[in-house]
Amino acid sequence: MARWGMVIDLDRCNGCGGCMAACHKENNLAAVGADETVGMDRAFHWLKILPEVSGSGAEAEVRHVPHMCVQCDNPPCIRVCPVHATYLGEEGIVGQVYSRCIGCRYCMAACPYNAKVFNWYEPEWPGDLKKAANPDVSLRPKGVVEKCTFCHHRVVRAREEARAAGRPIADGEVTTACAETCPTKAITFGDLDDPDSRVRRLSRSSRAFRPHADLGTEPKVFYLAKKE
Amino acid sequence: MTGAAAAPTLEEDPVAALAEGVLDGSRPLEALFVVDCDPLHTSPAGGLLREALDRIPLVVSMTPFRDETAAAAGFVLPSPVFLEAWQATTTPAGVPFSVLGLGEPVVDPPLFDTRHPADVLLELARHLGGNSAAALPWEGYDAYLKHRLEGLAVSGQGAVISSSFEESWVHYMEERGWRFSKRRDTDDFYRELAEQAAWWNPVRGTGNWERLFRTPSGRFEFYSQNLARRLQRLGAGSDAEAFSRGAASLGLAAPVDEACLPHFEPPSGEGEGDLWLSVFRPITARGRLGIASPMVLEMFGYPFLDGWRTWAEIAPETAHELHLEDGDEVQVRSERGEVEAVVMIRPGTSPGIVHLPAGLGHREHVGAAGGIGANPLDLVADVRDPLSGAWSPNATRVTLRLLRRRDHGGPPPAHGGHG
Repeated sequence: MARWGMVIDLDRCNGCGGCMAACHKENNLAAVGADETVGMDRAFHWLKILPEVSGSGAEAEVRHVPHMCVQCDNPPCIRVCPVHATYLGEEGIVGQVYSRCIGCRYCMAACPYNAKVFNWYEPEWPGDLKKAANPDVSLRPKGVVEKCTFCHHRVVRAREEARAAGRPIADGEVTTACAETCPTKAITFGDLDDPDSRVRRLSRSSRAFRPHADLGTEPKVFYLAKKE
Repeated sequence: MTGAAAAPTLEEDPVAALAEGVLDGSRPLEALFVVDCDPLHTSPAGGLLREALDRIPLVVSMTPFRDETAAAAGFVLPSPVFLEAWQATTTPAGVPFSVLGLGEPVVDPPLFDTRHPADVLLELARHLGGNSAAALPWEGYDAYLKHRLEGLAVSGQGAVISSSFEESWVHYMEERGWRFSKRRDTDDFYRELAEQAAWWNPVRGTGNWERLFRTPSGRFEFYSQNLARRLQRLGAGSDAEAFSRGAASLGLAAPVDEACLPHFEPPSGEGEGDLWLSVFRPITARGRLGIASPMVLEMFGYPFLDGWRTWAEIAPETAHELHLEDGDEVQVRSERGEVEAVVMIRPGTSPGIVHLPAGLGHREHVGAAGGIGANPLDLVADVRDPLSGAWSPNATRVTLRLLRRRDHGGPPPAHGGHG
């Protein structure tokens, strides 16, 4: 059984935002609109590009850090959910059952990565935009929490195709929308338990680190630090 | 802004030149076709053009979107978006070899009742008859594209991109000086190109340097002969004195001898104010399709985790001097106008400069973008680069005035939470 993980090479990321746009489109993230964004800061993204600035003036250096749910192996969010709406799947993806979520937002408070977002409003799809929704990803109603799923629907499809063909999922056969879109190939997705997978090799690089690893959450998103 | 010509320039800004020509009567137009662009919003000369459009009897906008130019046009002919039409792309700037991309429509027929602008113009030419029909004899845009590619097919140069082993070998050999005759049938070439989507020619011709470098030395020179000839023409002669007269009339800061060499020509700033305005187009406002989408508006300022509004990017030093904080709402004012923006403090930004993103501030409803944010081009002074004639979007002086302090009850916009 696979254990899905991701490696993000911060030396390669140029902050273009393509991953963010791809995530929005792939996962049917509704726009909350101008008033809610500007006045109430309620816009949400499953994937954000965090700017990290060091130095100042002409010496300032900006690094872009793509940030999403890090799919903890020991996720604090599932411990606090009173209705078991969030859970750790067999393959290591932290899932969210929208129909079970009661919108208490305890999980959001517990997440040390600020990775979960809340639907404050009934999503609106102006014009024909609803027709453009990805049929593999359910639309979320008002009042539920959501987050990055590692494009779980793609994993499911790849697993079914592999099962029908009587073979295991090959390395690189399934990837997330953000990784697929990245023009600099900064994001790598794959099976961390596959000894031959690229993601496993990169995750064991001397440059690899996990965000807030000291918290014991065992994230499965690794970053590759700046090359010296 | 007035219809009067600005300071003399060597070239003309096409939008400004068109508008000024119409307004002063030197270039009267009976009809204007605007194809897939929105100059009223995207050009600093948009205000001037708006005045000029009123004096053109027939203005037709061919566009997939209802935009400001379409709203000001007499007729709007809806055109397909890029996924619904044939498209050809030539070598992008900076690519050191020849490339041609050919894209088939992937949505065919188009979703709505639209026609490609080229098909409209070809049909108009047929109806006009005479020289127009003779000059544009093609049945449709795809036939025209095929005609344009005929020369490429028979030249035998380059190859349609493919991963075949044989082709790799041919390229390998060509790079080392071998030449192969590959004259191709136009129909076959077009079909193959449409399937593979691209042609390239990685091999640069050697020899024939006289054609490539038409310089006194016959070698590459940084000194631009083209610019020198133009300056001589401006000075009404063909000698060194005419050149000096031409260069002097432009009021260049660089010495006359350096006018045709790459050099920095400082902008002649206009207006009052302690700060320089810098207008840039963020990646989220590139292209015509994006800004019509609520999704793109939501992530318009994604490097600051912000959307749906115009921000003013300033250095920490500038913010300190002006007693401004992240998230404060300010008015940016130039002699031409004022816009509102929210302060985003960015280390690494040069002190004394206010960077404003272009792309918002549509007066008309372009998808979801109507009335959202501000258009910083409304502030840009009529200062043009003396050599290129292009408007200098970074030659305007502005002031910042605090309108409202950020509400400290909420999270700062640059690091906003989503609870």
